[in-house]
Amino acid sequence: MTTPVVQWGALAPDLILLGGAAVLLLVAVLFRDRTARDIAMLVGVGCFVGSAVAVTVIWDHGDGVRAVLDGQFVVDRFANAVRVIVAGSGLLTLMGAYGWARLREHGPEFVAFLLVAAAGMDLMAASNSFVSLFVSLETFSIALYALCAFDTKSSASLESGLKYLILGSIGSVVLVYGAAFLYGATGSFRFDEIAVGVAAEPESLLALAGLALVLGGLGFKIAVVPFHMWTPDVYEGAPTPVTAFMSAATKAAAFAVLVRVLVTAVPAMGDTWKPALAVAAIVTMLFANVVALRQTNVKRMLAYSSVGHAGYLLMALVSGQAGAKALLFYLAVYAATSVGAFTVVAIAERETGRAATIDSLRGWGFSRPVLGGALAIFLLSLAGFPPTAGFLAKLYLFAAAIDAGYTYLALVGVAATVISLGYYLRVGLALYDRRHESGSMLPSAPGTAWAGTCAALAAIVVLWLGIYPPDVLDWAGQAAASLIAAP
Amino acid sequence: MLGDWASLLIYLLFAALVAGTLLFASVALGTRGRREGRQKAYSFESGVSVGSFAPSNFSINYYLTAMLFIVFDIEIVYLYPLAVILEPLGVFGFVELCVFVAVLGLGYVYIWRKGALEWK
Repeated sequence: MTTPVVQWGALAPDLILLGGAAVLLLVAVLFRDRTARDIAMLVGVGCFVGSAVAVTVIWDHGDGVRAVLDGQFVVDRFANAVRVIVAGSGLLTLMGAYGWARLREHGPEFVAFLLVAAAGMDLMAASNSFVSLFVSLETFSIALYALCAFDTKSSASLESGLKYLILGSIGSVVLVYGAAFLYGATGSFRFDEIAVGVAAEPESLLALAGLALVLGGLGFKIAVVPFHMWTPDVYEGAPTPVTAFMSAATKAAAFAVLVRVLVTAVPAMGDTWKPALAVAAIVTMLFANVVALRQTNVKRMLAYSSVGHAGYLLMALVSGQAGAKALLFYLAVYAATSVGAFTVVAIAERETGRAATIDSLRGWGFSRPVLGGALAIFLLSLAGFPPTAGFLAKLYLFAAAIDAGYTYLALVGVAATVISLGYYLRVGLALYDRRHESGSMLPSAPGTAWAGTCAALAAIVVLWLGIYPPDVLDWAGQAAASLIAAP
Repeated sequence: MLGDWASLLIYLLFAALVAGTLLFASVALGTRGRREGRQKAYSFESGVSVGSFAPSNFSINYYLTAMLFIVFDIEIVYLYPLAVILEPLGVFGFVELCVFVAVLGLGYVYIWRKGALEWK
């Protein structure tokens, strides 16, 4: 028996996160209250920065593609790009959560859960087998269930955690069932070996059932219609910093692994899954954006908006290499926008002490010029207005879909974007409602300085990517090329 | 003929001896065994009265302790497959084992210092 070979370098970005989580358990024991929180924040920021730095170090190793742990994982530039997006979302989330009262009691635990969730997402994006996929999926899911229920004094938070636990488990079960069918059809859990088996027998009914169930299970994680039902309730009830992280990082990791499954495990069944995803994209884009029109709670509205964005992103999955490039750029933009928007909502919640609704935000932009301006930028980016990054992200996505022959998807996407203006602009108009202008600037609520910085930083990122995107586009292009060969 | 199965036989005899000794000891040395009562007629359910259990409140400590037990129990079970192949794995396996136990120990220190093992 040979000693197993572990590619420590390729796993370093994830091991840093997991090591940090282990250290935080000791911090939780050794220090108390605010000291513990501040040390935990420093450890968390250090780990996320360290993880991102480690990615830049290993970016070119092995020409950007390395099989890790006997082929259970493939660390390529695509996975590394997702790691950077996850680490960035984690950093912004930590900043945004800093002043949250709950962290004064359980700061180290919060950061530890966040680090474990991020490590699980990173590993899932690099999974090359259904076994490693499932293990990493559960690693981050269980951490997220706990994070959703983190505010144990709020029944909404507990309800959100329980709902996510039950529905998330069902999603996982469906995924595992699908993996079992694919194993039955091809005799392997490894994506590359499944691809060989499926190519030999593309008409296999067993493989078809497996593919359908896997798509259902992963569709649950990315929250596309009809697997989106949990999203509004969980997003609304979960503590807002957690919602911010979930919406940004989970989406990135789940879309990344979905792309990997589709292009490395079942490319031979493209004629089956491409039309299915196209239909799901159309239904998701239209349904989510129409339902979002009727929401008055801002978090719930942003939850439906997140479902809608998953619909746009489905377009990328059928659009080949250009689609994967657009997907990564879109995910990076969406992460900054979404964490920023939820952080501003969290600040508004802390100031008023209740859920943020469109009415509670009326005139808020006048008394909070920076935060109001940032939220307006995020809303414009979500709606896809230039010069924000949301415009370019949608532009590249729709262009990739048209080049791949899915012009009708791009048209539906444009129509859905027009519908989405209805609710994004409604919040924007409420922010600057002259009738509710208080005429004076309020002093900022205590403990929101870091959250405000987070929102400002996210707004700068959104504008920077919208005005000068070539660096990030080049990075996304390299990452996409490492996974999908050019046609 | 006995050969390979001798160890199994010895194991079974030893198991019977342990169980038999305990049963005999409780009958011979027990002082409350003779008394009859309603409680004795119920089935044994880990010390919890079965009659009035379902709809009433019960201490969250049962739940917490049971959960912690299951977590650590399952983690320990992972050591068995490792033990089977520890020798061929050599130093690598030993270091992995140490890391695993260290992480487990860290978790133990955490629940201990946080007071999760206290019966409140």
